[in-house]
Amino acid sequence: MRSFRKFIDISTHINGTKVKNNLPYVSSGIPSLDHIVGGGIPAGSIFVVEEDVLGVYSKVLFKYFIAEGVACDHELFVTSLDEDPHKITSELPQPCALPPEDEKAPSTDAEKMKIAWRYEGLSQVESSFGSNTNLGHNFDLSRYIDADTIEKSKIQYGTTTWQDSTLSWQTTMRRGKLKSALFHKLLRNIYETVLRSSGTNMLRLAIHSLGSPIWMAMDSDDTEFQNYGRDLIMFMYYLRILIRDKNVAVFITIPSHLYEDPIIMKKVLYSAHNAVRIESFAGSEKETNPVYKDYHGLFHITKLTALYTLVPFVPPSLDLAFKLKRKKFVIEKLHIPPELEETSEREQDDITATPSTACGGFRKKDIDF
Amino acid sequence: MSDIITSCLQLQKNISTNRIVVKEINGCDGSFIVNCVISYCIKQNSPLLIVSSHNSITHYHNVGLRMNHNLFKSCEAGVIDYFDFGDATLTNIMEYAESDQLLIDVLKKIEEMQRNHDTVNIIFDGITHLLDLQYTLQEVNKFCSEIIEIAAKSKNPFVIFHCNDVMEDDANHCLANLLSHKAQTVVEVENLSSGLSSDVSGHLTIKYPGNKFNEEHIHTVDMKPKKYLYKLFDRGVKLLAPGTV
Repeated sequence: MRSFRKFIDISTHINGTKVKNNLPYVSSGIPSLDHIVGGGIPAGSIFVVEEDVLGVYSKVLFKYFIAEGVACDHELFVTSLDEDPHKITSELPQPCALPPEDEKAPSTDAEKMKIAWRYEGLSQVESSFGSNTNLGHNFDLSRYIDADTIEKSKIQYGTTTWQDSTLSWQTTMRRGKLKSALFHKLLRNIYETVLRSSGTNMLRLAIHSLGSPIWMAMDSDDTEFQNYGRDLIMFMYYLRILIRDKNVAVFITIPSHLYEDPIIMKKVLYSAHNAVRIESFAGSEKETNPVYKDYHGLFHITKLTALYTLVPFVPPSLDLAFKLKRKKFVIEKLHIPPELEETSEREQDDITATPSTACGGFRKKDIDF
Repeated sequence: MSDIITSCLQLQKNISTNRIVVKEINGCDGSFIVNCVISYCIKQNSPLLIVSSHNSITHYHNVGLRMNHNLFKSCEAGVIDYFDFGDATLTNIMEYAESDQLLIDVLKKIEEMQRNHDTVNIIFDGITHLLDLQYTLQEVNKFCSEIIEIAAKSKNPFVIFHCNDVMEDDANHCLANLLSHKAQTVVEVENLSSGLSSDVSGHLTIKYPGNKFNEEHIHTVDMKPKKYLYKLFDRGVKLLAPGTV
């Protein structure tokens, strides 16, 4: 009798998935994001996006995730308290057959760089990721999916509303029980949705701005400050347990910048499988830094977990930046532009030449092995 | 490749109730140690109870397939058993049942296994999640003590508590320290502070607080911990001395 049997997994037949390590992966809708997190979002996992301060770019990622689900005909569950989820789904980017073309400014003769002849034959350095991926669709942000398609798609909306934010599910602190009706209602919604899902199709759960002030209203009223965030932490844990080993992919955006206590986010992320953080330049001093002139913000990879395998994915680079073009959202390797102008300043006084990120600033003492 | 981990944990030695604590620091994932121990138990045909509250049994099974063992087959044979603590808690909350009974259920499971086997080893994966579920520090500490006490009725078992040390001023850190005080071996896994690397997965520090009462170390004032770098592969783990990458 054979000791090992090969898994014959029906999930190989699910549209819009790719099997890796005996686990189906789905696309986030953004090829470059899929590439840097290891090929996509694995089924049975929670993907957390720590929002930028204004929440603009995290919402774009959120819409991409839902749009990808609509394009793949996956089951969807969308909820948000800060915004009407119907409005979010009415603004989903439309899939397009080919990648939307980059806008290229016409180059003038003055801008053309002279290059030594021995380097002319070399290919250009590839800064972008995921250009040759075979998972996921391409989307055009300038056009929306029509209302009929949204109507016919398998989208279910969460029933939690902001009126639930002041309702208490449990009047006293009881072990394992969620105090806030908001979290309890959402968990029950998701539990019933997961139970109802066929298992032969992917279910995408999309929760927008979990942990925003509306979610935390009950904790804010609590006189015992150490209870702040307990429901959020517990909810994330239960969600992790609920979706594991199932054909369910969860995408959550969290305004982590609102939490002064770093312990809360660390515990929340402990229950998540993969997490990224968006740092937008809007309103910060980096907005005017010429080093970052080609980008809208930095993209940090906070956590990557190994699921069904021992080895977690190591991304090609941690120095990542993103830009929101007219038609697409792109994550690229951060490149510092060359400094070509001659200045009278000393190099060590030039603060714009060296960014505060680790890119290009390698020192031997930074390496700790 | 997992033998190096099990020899560091001194599993081959006949230590009476070998208490091991695995601490995850700085967001590092220490579940590879649990995988190595599972692999050891299957190869040695040593009974094991896995109480899982962080990773699922299916995850351990799939990792184990690459490490050349079949966890589900061992479960069918009765060598390995598991108690899905997370699933039981979730079922309780969805069915509006009380969750006070859960800790007692875990202890009963251990006793049930002890009726069929001389030695029952125990792994509690993600013990710090009990604090997230609003068990108090005192309750969790008492529960761990009871597990050790019941496990001690077996012949030379080992008990592994896998915990996540979030930050210094937090209950998780207190629990990790309380367990470390009870432990014979403390394993700390930590991410590289400089970021991710394809050459090294993280730091591994092993302390043997239980050895200080051994005759050979009785005159040693301060026992130095053993520090390694570790690299994860599909089929196991490799330990490296610092500087030898």
